[in-house]
Amino acid sequence: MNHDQQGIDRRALLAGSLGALGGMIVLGSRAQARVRLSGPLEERSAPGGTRTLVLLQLTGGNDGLSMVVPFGDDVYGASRAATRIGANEVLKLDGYRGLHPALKGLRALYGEGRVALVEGCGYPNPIRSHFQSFEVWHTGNLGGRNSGDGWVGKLCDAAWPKDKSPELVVHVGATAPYALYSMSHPPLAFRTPATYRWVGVESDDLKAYRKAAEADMRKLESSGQEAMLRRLRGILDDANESSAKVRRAVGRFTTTIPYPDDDLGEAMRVAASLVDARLGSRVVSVELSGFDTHENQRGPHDTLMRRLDASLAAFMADMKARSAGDEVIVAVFSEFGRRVKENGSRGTDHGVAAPMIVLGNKVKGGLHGKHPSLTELDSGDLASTTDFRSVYGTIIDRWFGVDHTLVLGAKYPTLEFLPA
Amino acid sequence: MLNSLALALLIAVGASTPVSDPIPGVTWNARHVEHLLNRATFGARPGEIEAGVAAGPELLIDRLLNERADIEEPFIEPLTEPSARAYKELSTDEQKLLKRDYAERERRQQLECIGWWVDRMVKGDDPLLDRMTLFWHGLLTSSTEQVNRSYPMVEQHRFLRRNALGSYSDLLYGIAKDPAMLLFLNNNSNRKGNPNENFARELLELFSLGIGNYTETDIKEAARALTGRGSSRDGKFEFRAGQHDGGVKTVLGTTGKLDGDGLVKVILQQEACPRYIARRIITYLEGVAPETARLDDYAACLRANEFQIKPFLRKLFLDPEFYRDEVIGARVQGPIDYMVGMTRRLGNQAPPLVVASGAALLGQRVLAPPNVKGWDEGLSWISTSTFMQRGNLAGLMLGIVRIDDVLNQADLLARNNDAPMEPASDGSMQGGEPMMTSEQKEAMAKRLRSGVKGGFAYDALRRAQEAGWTPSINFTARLQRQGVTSDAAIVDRMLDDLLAIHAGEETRAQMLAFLTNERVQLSVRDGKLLEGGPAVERILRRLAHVILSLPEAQLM
Repeated sequence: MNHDQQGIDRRALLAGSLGALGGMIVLGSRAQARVRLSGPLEERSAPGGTRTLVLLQLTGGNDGLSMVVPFGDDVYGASRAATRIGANEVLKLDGYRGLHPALKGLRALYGEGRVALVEGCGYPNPIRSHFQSFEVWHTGNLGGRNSGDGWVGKLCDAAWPKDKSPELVVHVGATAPYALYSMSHPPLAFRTPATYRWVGVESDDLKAYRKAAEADMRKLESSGQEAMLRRLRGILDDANESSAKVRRAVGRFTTTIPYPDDDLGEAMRVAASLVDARLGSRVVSVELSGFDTHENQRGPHDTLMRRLDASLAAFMADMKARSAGDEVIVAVFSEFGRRVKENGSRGTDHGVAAPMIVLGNKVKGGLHGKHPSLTELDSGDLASTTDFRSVYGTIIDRWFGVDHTLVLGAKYPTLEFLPA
Repeated sequence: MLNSLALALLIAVGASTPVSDPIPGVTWNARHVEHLLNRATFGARPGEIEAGVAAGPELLIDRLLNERADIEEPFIEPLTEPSARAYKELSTDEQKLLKRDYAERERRQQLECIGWWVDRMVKGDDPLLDRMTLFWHGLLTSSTEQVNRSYPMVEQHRFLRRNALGSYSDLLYGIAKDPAMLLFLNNNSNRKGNPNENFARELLELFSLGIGNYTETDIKEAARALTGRGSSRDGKFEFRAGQHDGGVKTVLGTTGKLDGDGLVKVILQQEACPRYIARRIITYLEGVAPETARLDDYAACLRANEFQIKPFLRKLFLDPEFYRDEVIGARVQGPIDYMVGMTRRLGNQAPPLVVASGAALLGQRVLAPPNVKGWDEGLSWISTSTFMQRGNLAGLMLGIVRIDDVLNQADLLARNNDAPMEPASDGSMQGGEPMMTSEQKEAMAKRLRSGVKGGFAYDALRRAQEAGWTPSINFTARLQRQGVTSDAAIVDRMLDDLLAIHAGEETRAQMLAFLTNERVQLSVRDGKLLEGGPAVERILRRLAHVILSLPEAQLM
């Protein structure tokens, strides 16, 4: 039996077992898909051209009121004590609001019109659990994971269904957020490109290792095992295909911009190198953690703002000088904001609405959405004024050129932070 | 060579009459024993499977549940940071020394506990207790990253261990006054009139009921009930009556002057509580969430036995559903499963901290889960890069890959863009001219090196390597003892011994092709490989390296 025939048999078997096992099964490896789709089916004029979205997740619930500070609102001053940022400290945007004093780079970019602030982002019936709220943000659906893949996964299905390159979606960090979860377009994930490789002692070992991703799954004893093995082989196959490409892209990337010497800085530098190498990465995900500031918030939150600013400023400076720079936007989000009134431990508890930030050379800078009222609260929390899915929808429509209802399952008002 | 579990079972079998069909529809065989030992312990060692088959399910399960090893726990002292007064009388240099000494003692005390625990898992004297302690550590979880003190963290571990096979009710009462937990979730600053909701929220959401079974008001009221509970300076539980809100609260429909214990009592009365715990335990051990009717049954079991864990586990391990096709061999090994299981199967005498460091590198740091939700199990452990890292760690544990090989970027520096990435058979790199200038190369090498942070795991591995640790493995002798000679028999035996599941035919054929090819290169006839001299052991270890890097090696 030659290799081709074997492949066909395997696919036939795959289809059969899929049917037999119903919805429980995990879909097959991309190796198999690539067999089908290699050659002329490859798409050149894909939606969104060669554009990239960098998704930056602030994990833990960022205190939006300490990032975009309504210093002109008396209620803000009255609600906050230890976490209050004074009018003399903020980097003013107008007479009402200003940026956290550490966001100097962001303030300068705002002045250049490359930063859009979308205020009051949230969703109906807000959830104050980190994990459940993230599920809503990650799926773009109030049902969370029960509604299926992450929103980026659904975006891939809608925009680039036939693009099977493993670099399509990349998470730079330990564990990819659920937003990237997809049966058909699983993300690459690596914390540091340097060790993203399997070390074979001899070339024969490497060959045997690579072949393992193609092994057949007949005659296995358990159906559950078969499904898991198929999934694992897909991941291994993606790893084998992408590891050298990714490490080369990062290794060869040169820049005059000094990125901060911390995890986010390193991740943003990797993101820049992927964009610059034009590996076809449409979504690159990075994360900054530590925002769950229930206690003694001011110092740690100041540090986080400083880190955020340094990495964003470096990335945007780098992108300004590159031809690929116009092809990338950055969107910053968190699972929720924090309560208006400070708690008893100089910190803040879980809240609701908070601003999102979108950056890019092509972004229409300025204020979008609507600042939530500090007096008309929803059980002590800022009520959202802008559904965050309007932000996703705008990016999907205007950045990637795909009808967002295909991804989000409903129509949300488009915002003006990207040109139509 | 039999270890203690296998030996005890064989002795016990002699004295008992096997009961027929204790698990309806399951004809007890090696596959079932291996599955049970994969999930209830950290994997079978040679001899244990045969003994478990002979013993039958009830005897094996009773032994896992009830036989306790008599083990001395590590010494632990409540270190406290030197007081401001102690610092005051010292010179700047002395202050620095004192500070460093304190930090070092904290670090050592914690590493000692981690090493001790991982050693317990590897040795497997109390395997189910260690498995369930790990489960509770992931459920009622705190992290040393936030607690920042060894004494309360280690004490929390001992508390979980003491109760791991006891009652969930004791666990919940206890964790609600556990100093590390109170530090972790900021309850030290949860005071009357100034509540901090952090602990109250996670107590209801993650430790007992699950989302959807309480309201936001319940959280606010529960936080009031927990006011005044904190950790003292020396890391012990402290109730500060002056900070406690003694007023009337209404939580989950019960109104009264609830304090912390009163709150836990109300939680335990909720119908959602045994359901949540039953679902968490079954999902952890089976790898998939149970169906509703089955969940009801198990929740009722918890309730009827006042949350005792042993009858629950006995029921589960004797349940035919536990042995269904969807479950067997279909759970992704977590990093601890992978590292501990590999160490047990190889018998390579790896230092426990090396095993723990490997697990940390793969995303599971003992005493330091990433957040209050513990570890997400299953496929989330496997990314493109952790998959490869697992194989690299197997190579390190086999003594054929070195740390510097993992970090070495020579292949990228030496080759042009389009050449395939394969080293020549002598291990050297061949092919196209370098495309970068020497400065570029240097800059890249430096950057790639500095990108390898999270240093402690690599550092521990490197230290062990520098200290001269080499794995004690002798596949050649092991196989000779077993009387295995042909290529096919060697591959079968290696797959059996090294994997927690049964490998499929094609994988077996690929490994056989690999071994045969290497044997032919040595010019040795099939059946005579083990007599092929010193080069043979290296070939067998390379085979083991590939096997332990396979998709099959990630499952249990």
